[in-house]
Amino acid sequence: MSLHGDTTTTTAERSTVTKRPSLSERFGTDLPRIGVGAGSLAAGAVAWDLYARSADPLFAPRASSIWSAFVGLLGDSEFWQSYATTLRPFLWGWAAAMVVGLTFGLVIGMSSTIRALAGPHLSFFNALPVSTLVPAIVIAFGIDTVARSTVVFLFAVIEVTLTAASGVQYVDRDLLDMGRSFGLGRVRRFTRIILPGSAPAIAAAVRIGTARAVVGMVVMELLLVSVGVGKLISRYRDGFDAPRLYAVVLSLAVFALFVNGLMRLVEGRAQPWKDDEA
Amino acid sequence: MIDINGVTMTFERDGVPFTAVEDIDLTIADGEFASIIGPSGCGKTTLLKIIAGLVTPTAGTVTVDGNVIDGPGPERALVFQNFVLLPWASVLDNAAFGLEARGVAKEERRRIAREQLAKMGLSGFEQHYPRELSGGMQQRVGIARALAVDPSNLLMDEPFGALDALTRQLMQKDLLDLWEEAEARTAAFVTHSMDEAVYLSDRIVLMNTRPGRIEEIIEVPFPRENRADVVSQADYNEFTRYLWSRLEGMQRADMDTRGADG
Repeated sequence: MSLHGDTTTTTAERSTVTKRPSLSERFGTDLPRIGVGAGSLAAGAVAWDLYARSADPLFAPRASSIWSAFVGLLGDSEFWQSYATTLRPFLWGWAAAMVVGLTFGLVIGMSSTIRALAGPHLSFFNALPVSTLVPAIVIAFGIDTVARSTVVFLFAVIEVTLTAASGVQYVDRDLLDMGRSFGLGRVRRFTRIILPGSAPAIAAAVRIGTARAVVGMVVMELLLVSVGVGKLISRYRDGFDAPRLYAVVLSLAVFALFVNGLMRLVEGRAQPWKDDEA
Repeated sequence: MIDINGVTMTFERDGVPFTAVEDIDLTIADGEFASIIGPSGCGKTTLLKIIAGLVTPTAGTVTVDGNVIDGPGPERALVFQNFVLLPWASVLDNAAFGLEARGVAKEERRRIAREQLAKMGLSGFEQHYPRELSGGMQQRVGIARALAVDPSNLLMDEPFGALDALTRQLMQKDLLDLWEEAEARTAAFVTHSMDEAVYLSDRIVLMNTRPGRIEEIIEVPFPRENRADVVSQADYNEFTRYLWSRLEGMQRADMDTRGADG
């Protein structure tokens, strides 16, 4: 792994070090928590359904009809094509936000001069609702992939930058002192202390930035001319097809949860030295 | 050899100048083990950081092995109170880190680090992460890391302060054994513990607070060879009683001035 510089420990050696808990061990203690969570979700669905019995079906369709619309969408190739269309600019914008945000964040975290110069701009853009920039993006880039990627990028990049920058600033001062006492050079100071030391913040930046990118993706679909998932949403809206409309919303929630879970997994894997049983 | 000459360090604390140490003169001879002891706030850690080159004094100079220092140097190595190991690196890479910082090739630095770890009784733990080790073992890695660069001056900042009493005694004994077998090596050892200072040192430097200054330098009147048996001697009791009266006096005086201030 690049973070470890030149450690050549084999997987076999490593596995004697960190004992990975078996599946039953890992979930055994989590079972009550999972049970409570699932129960709470089920109760929410029941409450919704109770409300929907007496409400206007156009506004609040029954949980069962949303569910069958959802299952129906999963078997529909157009649904998957819509996601494919939406995900392309999502991935471009996400990747650009990660590269730019992490790089910029690390630089800002390390240099107090650049931090002082960039600080006001970052605060400004952090306070600005990104949606207000969408018209300007349309004028500049039109409505195609570049414009769509840009929306996603702008939604994520500031959070990524700020989170990564704060991580670098909180790298253990003692470690930096220790490095200095041994005459550690600039390059090794970065690769051996600052980079691994801010790994938790970098992982958090990626996770938060990804969540923001998902929001950007939805906004992009709703505010620009819709071609992907947004097209499904506007079609079902215009047709007053409430169950399918809610089913698309549900699919977006599932997608966001999936991406978030993926990021947490990556976050855990990125720090093998952390005790995950603690 | 460490030669401290008229060293003063003034910080700005909340806009108010604060003198951490004032006009320190101290010479630690080649091969000498000197402990620096005093109530908290006497500037002993600041003084050690100045010797390490991590802090630049406002006035005065520190000469190490004949050269006036202006930063860290290869002839010195530091052992930290809280071990300060890289949590993401193996024990072996941690022990080799000082050598890595100095650009020693990988094979060579690993060989040396392995040797030092073996001396510290840590063979077999090379691939562990620091968090998997007890505090005492982690500090053994910290000491191995410092000794791996073969410094002529070893600087230690309350290295056993974070350890339990039993581990502490064991570490003191092992450090002394290591010391005996090493060639002429100079040590500056900051501690809170009187017994530790008496057990380890040739001389004890008593520091006082407000401002941090040297109060008295005391030769330990026991031969280093049979320090371990020293506990039974009546002289020892008399010596520690004197040391304690000095320390107690300083601590109480410091409490009184603080009370008067606040």
